[in-house]
Amino acid sequence: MERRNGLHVFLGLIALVGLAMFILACTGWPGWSPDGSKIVFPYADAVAKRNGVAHYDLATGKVTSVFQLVDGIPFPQFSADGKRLLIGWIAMENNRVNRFEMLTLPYGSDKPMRHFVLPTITETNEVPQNPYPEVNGNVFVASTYVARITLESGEVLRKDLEPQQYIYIFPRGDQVIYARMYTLPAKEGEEAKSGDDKDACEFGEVDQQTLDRKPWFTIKSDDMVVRNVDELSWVPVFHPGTEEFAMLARKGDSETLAFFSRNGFERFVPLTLQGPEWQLGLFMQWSLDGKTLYAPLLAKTQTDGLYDYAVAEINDRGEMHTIPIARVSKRGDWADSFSYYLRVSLSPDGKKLATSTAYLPEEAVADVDRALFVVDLTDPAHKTTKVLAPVTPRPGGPTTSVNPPETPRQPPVEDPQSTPAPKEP
Amino acid sequence: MDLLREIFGVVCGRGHLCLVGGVALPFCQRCAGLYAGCVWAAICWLAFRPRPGRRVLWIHTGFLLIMAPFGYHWVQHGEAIRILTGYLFAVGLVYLLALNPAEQYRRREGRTRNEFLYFSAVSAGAPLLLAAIYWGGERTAVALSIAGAAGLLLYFVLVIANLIVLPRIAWQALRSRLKHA
Repeated sequence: MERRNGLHVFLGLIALVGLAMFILACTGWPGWSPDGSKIVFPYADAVAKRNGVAHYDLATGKVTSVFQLVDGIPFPQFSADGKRLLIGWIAMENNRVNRFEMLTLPYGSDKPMRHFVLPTITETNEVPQNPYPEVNGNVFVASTYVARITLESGEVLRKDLEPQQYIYIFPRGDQVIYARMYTLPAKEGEEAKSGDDKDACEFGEVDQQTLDRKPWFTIKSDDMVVRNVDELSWVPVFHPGTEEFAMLARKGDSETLAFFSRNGFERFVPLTLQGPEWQLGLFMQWSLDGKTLYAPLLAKTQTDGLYDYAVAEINDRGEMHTIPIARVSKRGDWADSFSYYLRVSLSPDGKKLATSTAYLPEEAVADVDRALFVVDLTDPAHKTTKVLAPVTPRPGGPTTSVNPPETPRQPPVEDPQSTPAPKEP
Repeated sequence: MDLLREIFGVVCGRGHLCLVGGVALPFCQRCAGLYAGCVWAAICWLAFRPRPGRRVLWIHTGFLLIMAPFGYHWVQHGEAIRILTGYLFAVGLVYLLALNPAEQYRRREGRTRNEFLYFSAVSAGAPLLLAAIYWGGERTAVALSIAGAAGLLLYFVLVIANLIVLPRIAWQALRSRLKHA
């Protein structure tokens, strides 16, 4: 009897531990902390000529600079357990991407700081971007290779891709999804395509143990879905409740969402853009209930080169509501790849949305609008809190407006309406 | 539902959201099996009370262990397997967590026939849960959410009961040993 009691006690303890482990295991730019109380975001300090990572505490409203780089583009995020800050950056040399480095900093913990240097990237300018997928304490990074960094031990496993190949990876719950752009072999009689002319994209999943790729399907340029559109974004946005993901596509002046599953293309959902030349950013995010899509939006104003940056809230019928953020200027070539500068990020509970203009080039945004913006999605009016980036104060005072691209540089001019809202019908 | 989302937000990261009839449950797919499945597992246990013989104990322990390859992603899997592994984990948990408190406070009189009925009922729960999730409507979503909340409460009660009973059993065993020493 005593022996049986001992076994029952042991199994009861196993069950308690098992339940505890289950609960513990179940639990972009800008990067939210796991409890949703802090945000880290990159910023560009034009006066000090450096880039940095800022830390914002929602409870206290305090924003501080926690990391600075003289030359490089930082991509910060919290680790899944919230005990580390992961900061990846791209080190440049001769204006070309040279290598990717990552720093893991302890955050409210006694974890050691670690510095990782990943291989030199010379064949392409494709760089690992965040959010970096993290599963079971392993962070994954990819460009011309796939690398797995084990946070606890510091071990790095790397698998190089074939020459001239690169992949992007995306987190999807406990999966690491990849998109591999490549060039199809030239058909008989056709000229071989140049290295930059990719005409196929393969989607699949990365095996987290071996770092092998497990392909799902490939979209080729002459496929039906691609023939029906002028441009496909190749950036998947994963639906939270199903196995599907969507990609932004453009046909003429219209934007549409193309939905895919593991088997390939499923359907189009046209989007109702409210103005001509409105552009949606590639890196969108679904709400937690899968009913609303949030996307960065550039809306053209009446002045050439000036745009209103807003967050687009798109329902399941493709109808759009906009949340105004700031006015920006398309001076410089950043606007051709504005998706890499302007992104949206939902808090873990889905009640708040963060976006930032802090990393835009100097002349793209006024100093008074170089900030993190936190939108309260539970408020019908979508109250927005602006948190200025911790940049070095500009001699002569901050700029309060932006000028169109063709305008020569001028001293700051007072403009009480520095953040007008896009007009809705 | 918002309150349930707040509550489950503490114990579930909602990595793979569970949608029923277009409505998002307040927990993920695996937790749907764990929490909603807990209620069915508890009903089966109360109804049939199979004796904790070697076979029964091994089966329930196996239900816990089967989570390891899927929870640690050694095996790639989809939504259905997530729900099923959560459900089996719930069956194992309910039985093993109820084991010691039940022996302390209520004499077990289970018979072998109960074992067969118990496992039959438990087995029927799996396809029922899957059917509810895949083909249910908005009302089913609400029902599953409420079942999940009941399951969470049940786990809380079982954990507290074990935290009271297990030290008491250990103390009784220690006293008995000291007496005979």
